[in-house]
Amino acid sequence: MAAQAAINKSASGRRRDYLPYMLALPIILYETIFILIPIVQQLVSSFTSDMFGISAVKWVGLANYDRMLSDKYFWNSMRVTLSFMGGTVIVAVGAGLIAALLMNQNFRGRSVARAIMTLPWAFPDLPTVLIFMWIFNPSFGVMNLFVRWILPIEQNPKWMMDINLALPLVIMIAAWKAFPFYGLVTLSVLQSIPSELYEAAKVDGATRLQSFRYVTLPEIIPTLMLMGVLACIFAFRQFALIFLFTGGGPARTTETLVVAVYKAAFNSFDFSYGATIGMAGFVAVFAITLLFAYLQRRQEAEAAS
Amino acid sequence: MTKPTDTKKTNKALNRRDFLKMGAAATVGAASVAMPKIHFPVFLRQSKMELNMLTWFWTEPGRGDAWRAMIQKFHEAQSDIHINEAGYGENDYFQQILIQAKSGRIDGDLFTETPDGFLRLMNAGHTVSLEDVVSKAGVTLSKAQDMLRKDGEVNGLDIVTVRFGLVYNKAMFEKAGVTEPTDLDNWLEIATSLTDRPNQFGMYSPHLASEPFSLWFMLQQWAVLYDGIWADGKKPLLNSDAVINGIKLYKAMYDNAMPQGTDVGTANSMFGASKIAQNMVVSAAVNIWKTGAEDPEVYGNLRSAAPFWPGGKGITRIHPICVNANTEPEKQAAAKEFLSWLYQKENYQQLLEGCLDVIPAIEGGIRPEYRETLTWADGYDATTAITVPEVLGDFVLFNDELGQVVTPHIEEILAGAKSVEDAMGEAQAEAEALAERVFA
Amino acid sequence: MTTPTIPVPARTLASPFHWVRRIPMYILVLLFCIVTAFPVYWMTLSVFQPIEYSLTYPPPLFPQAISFDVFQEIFSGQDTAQRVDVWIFNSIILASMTTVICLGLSILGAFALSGKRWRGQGMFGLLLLMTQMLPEALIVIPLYATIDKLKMKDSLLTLALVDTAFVLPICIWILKNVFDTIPNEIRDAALVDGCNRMKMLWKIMLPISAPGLVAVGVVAFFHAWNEYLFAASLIGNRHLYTASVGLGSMISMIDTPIDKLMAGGLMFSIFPVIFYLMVQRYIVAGLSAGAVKG
Repeated sequence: MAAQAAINKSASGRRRDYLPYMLALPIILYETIFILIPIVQQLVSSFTSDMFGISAVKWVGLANYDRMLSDKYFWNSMRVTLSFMGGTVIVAVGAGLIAALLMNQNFRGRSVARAIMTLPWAFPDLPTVLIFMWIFNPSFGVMNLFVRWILPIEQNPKWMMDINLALPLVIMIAAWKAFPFYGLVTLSVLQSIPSELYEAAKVDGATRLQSFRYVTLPEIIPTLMLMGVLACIFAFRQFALIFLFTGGGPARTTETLVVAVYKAAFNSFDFSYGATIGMAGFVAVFAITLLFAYLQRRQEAEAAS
Repeated sequence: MTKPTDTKKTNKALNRRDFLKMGAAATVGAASVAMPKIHFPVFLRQSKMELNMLTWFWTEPGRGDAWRAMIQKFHEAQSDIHINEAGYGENDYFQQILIQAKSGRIDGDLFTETPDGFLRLMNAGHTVSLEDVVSKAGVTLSKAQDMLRKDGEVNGLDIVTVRFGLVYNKAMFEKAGVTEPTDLDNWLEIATSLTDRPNQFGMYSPHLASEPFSLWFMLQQWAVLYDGIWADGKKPLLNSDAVINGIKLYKAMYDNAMPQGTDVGTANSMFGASKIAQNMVVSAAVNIWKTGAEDPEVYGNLRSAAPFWPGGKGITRIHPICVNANTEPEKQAAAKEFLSWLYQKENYQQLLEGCLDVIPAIEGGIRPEYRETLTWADGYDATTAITVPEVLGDFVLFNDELGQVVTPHIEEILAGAKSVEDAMGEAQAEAEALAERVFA
Repeated sequence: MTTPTIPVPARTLASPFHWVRRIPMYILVLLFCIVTAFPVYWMTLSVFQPIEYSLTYPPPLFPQAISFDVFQEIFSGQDTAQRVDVWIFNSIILASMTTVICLGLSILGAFALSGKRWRGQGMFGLLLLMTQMLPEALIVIPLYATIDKLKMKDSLLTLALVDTAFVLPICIWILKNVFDTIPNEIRDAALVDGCNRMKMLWKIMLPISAPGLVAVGVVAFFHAWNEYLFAASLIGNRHLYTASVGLGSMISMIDTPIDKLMAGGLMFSIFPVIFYLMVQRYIVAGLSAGAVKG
């Protein structure tokens, strides 16, 4: 830090440095036009009643928020969102970590295996949904075949039509598509861990598990935390995959907040209520992110002391 | 699978530059008509009026080609107006039109709508009166089109009326030695006897949570099978006997005769491959099997069941075409010009035949010679029409909202998580809350 | 592809006598590969075998017959707006434009965030994080209204600009971390040599960060290739449909048989997959995000 300060000082002297502002300005403008202004418009909309083609837009204050707080399906969406977020974070980041540890091993065909293991990342959402809908079709899906090899069941499971299976299934599919990214990021960190650390651990007589616990883990924990934040954000925003696969059903068991926003606005034409749910969801996810950021900072501080 | 060849497709091959031109022309179009002497750059000096027609028909089997053929004919008949294809696939169309309308203006000169979507857009002032078109075309509108009127003036012209009914594969019935059902219990028996999982299924009706619109759309007819309706005025009837019985039958069919978990597209392929014996579809859907079926015999074997249910009614949905109230007056005039041409009896008949439709919007709109060729249409014709406003009461303006209330409970029922009575009792309470909110 | 691109630390090389202990690892690798590859295999199978095989149960696990008819159908429809090759062409244009715009802006943003702290840097970071969190469904209506008023609808460039807005924050984040790994001595040396900072960015930092740029490019490309909601609302001209919207319209068609749909899906996936395999070797180096904490 001190060295860097010295460099910057030598470069720009004591006068105020405008370069970062000039660099950031186009981006701030850009995000303002495309995201911030629309979001403020939505915020305003959440204080109005706006039933398209039925009545004119009118100011209703907090009525939408009032309705939302007593709407059991809003709370259902909140729960589903948290389960979905938690599920994908654990499964995708977990699978990513395992995949990274595997890809970091030296074995024959490693690069081919790496290419195959990370392939789902390149797969767009729509084809992903198409494949899995077909694989899990309760009547013809090949997964019925596999499950009946393993489990002694008479009837095909109902898969995405089953109230208890739908959410786990959606989590698995989202994780299938997302884990390669986390795996690649983790791999990049694993490869930056100096091998001397492992050698030192070996000299101290550490087992492989111990060297993972005391060498690898401390090095990758900050990354895992960051990816946790990212995975939460991505899971929160996940739309096409869920919407196309289950439409939020059956019986709202996969209706995340984003799906609820979309349905309120575009299926029920209640734009202001959609905006209200969206705002609430945004605040919730923002809080979660800040919590993560706080935990990360504290953990960093601990590591530093 | 080949689509019917329609002779020349010269207009279809619009290249990118044409579209840039079109966009530019749209901006200055009005001005150039008002002041023809102004010197525009060469590529803008176009005397043709370019109209965009928004519809989901372009991607609909059979119907898209029929419309292209009509527009081709219109282009050959005159040289002042040129009609361009615009719009979205059926899944997205209604949402997209809504986003556009919501932002102030529908981005097209002509647009088509569903009956319920139309009512909303008409209320919001996106349509214009088409009385002058009707008088210029010199036709008499059917009584059913009264629902398209605002202050007595018709704001949309029906270009396809569909009716709900039961289509079956005659060959499969004959092979199994069964005949048309005589009553609802008998129907369930027949459907069950035709089912031999996983190779053959006796019945299909949409049931996937990922297709809530199709589910709700078709489900409405199941209550009508017990001569019921879903709402009376502002009062929802979701736990009335007819609705409950209809859903029980639907659930029994689902359990005993349907390919569970199959989407509409795949089910239609399976019907076309003679793997499904009966399908609850609207009359317009037969287009799917005319040319596209895996089993080429299927179309010839299609029959619609004569009404065997109490009341014998079938939901009838009118889809109008409208002129955008928020487009330039010159374009409105040109759009009306096109509609007047289209609604002339001969042209209307040609369109109806191209689309394989069976319910005409105007008197004498269907030629008897053509009607005789439709072997599958008798059951549909014998069914008594019941319109969407009759089935949904005042909820016709909130069709999708009501659907949002009903479908999650249907999913509970299909999954066996709740009894029909419990689930529909909850749905009724939610629908009453909805009514309180929207009819306030 | 067969030679490891990144040197493997010696410690991961197990002793030759202990190969037995590696069996669980091989099993795990195999398991992962099956889980990732099987769905792709299954899709390919459904495309190339006649549809009746897909509609039987139990489905055959290996191809019983091969047919290419379905490609004839999806590539040569009379309705040119309903052809997969046209959609893919549009998607390639869109994704390329997005990649270029996003790269340009994320270089600026990452450079601003990497290096000396400045007043408001935290706010800038927070702004980026916030924009990253907003679901598209929430802003599609107001954004559509604005773009319609500006008469910027029906343009792939507009769509590329919108797509960039949503993918920019994460791209900046990735690139910032890559920039952070460049030792201060290198920057310092360049500045002492009389470079101004923009020149240093251009001449020194970007060449070193090439893998990071590739990673950012891939992320942006995939995002634009994938995006559906804005593509569907901002493109009404059917001749400008991107592959995601085109495929979506196919899904909704009541007569689309599963083999045709799968063929469309396969075509839609092939380009990003090829693109990914081409640049795969740079990705790990480029994503060295976690190398720096925060």
